[in-house]
Amino acid sequence: MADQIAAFSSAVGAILSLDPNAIRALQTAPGALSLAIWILLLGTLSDVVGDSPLLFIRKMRRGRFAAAVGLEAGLSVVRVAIWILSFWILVNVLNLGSVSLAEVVLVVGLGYAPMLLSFLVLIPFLGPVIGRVLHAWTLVTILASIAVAGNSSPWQVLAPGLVAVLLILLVRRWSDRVSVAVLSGVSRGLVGTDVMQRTRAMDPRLVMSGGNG
Amino acid sequence: MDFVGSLLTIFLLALVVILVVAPFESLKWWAGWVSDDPDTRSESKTTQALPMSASYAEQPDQYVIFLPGVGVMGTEVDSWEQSLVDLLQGGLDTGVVLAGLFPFTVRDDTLTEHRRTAWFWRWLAHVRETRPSLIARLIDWRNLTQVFVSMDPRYGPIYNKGVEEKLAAVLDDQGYLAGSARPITLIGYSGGAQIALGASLYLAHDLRAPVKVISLGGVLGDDPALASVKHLYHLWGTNDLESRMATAVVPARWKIATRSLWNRAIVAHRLTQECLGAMQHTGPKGYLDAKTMAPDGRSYLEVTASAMLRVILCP
Repeated sequence: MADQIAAFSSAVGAILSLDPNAIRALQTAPGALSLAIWILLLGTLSDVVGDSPLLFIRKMRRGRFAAAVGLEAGLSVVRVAIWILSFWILVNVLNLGSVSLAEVVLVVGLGYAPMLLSFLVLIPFLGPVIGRVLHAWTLVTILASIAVAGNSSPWQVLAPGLVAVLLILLVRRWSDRVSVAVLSGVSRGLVGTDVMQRTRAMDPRLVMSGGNG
Repeated sequence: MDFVGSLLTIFLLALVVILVVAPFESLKWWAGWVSDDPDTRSESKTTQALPMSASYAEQPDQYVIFLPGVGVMGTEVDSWEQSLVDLLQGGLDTGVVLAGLFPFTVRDDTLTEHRRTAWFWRWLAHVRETRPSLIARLIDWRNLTQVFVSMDPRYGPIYNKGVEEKLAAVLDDQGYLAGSARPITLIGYSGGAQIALGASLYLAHDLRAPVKVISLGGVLGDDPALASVKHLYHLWGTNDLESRMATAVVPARWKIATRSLWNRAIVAHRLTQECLGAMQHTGPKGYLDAKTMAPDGRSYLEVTASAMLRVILCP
């Protein structure tokens, strides 16, 4: 178990440092897809932990809080799955390359590694800035992962890479809208609150009235 | 070297962990979880009987509350701060100056009492008293993280409301009548300044009172209270590195941030910044030093107290 954790940490460290040789080795190693899926799952879970203040702000009791965190984790995984699926469909529809869904999961999953740190947005005062940095870093690591998978240098894929980043952002925005619209209703039905929303600045008037966020 | 490196790594990790978990105390309080904790339920209201600095027969016409800096662990007032409180009390005829409140938690207890980690903080206090060390700085760091919580727009309103309820309870104990319009002045030293500013918004609302805030070398953010505070006086010294660092890390306080609440408060003449001289943040040559003399022959402590009294007595 300790060896697996050490290997996982070492792999994540290599991705975070944008080491192309290490990323290539990871992409071609046996079990690469399972590593990518683990990164996606744990990154999503970390994101859920980072967003948990919203549930406190809504004054949830312990039992409902635990249920809401569990539900948010599940729905967030669905949200990421919808995003990756949309990206794969769009790449194939636009005929940008012949890639399988497993390859997209592998490349995007490895590039999702910075989101493992997204629980750090909890940090007071600096958290929102850390969140933005992590999102930018994730785009860069996904781009690096695409470049390595295509056997290109980051410079060679700069122009198509920018298109890819734009595509990723557009797909994510569109798929998030669809996911949030559908999954918000699911969460409201199950735990009585919309767990798909993000923790944002709180209005002092809300606190003065003692109301729920 | 490996051993030292490991120790430093552990220390840095401890700093990050304290930072990450910092908001949860106030979030749990807001969500109503704190009363469920067995260690805070029984004695929560009995932990701090605020000492009054002077007895008085009539209703005070001024209420001043002093909030200390990040080195504090409980309701004790250190000798430097007590000297300032005494000078302020001496300068107010029928006002009352209150000190001894622990502002770095929304809970009714302090770091060293009635919480599961109290033994750890008491041990750190013992270490700090024995000799200065890096590990004892965890006390300052823990309290500083609560200042960051107060500054954060996601958590700040909750935290500041929690502290305000403690302040309102203290004022109620001292006979303050809501709606009486008796002036209240919150003095915050160092990190206590942000807490004072944040709480002032809710205090003014709940007690329908005019609330002024005095920051002494304060670590202050772009708090929503800046939009409505009666007046914020930020007193600073040219050798106060901590206060200057706070200005550097809060972009809203930079002059180029013309739309920030901070700069709009300056334009609206609700924020006055006054330099007290070549004072440092704390200790000898600091704001509360009674031995170092200013060019006019007064001690640094007297300069600080007189600037504060001028603000407090200004209608």
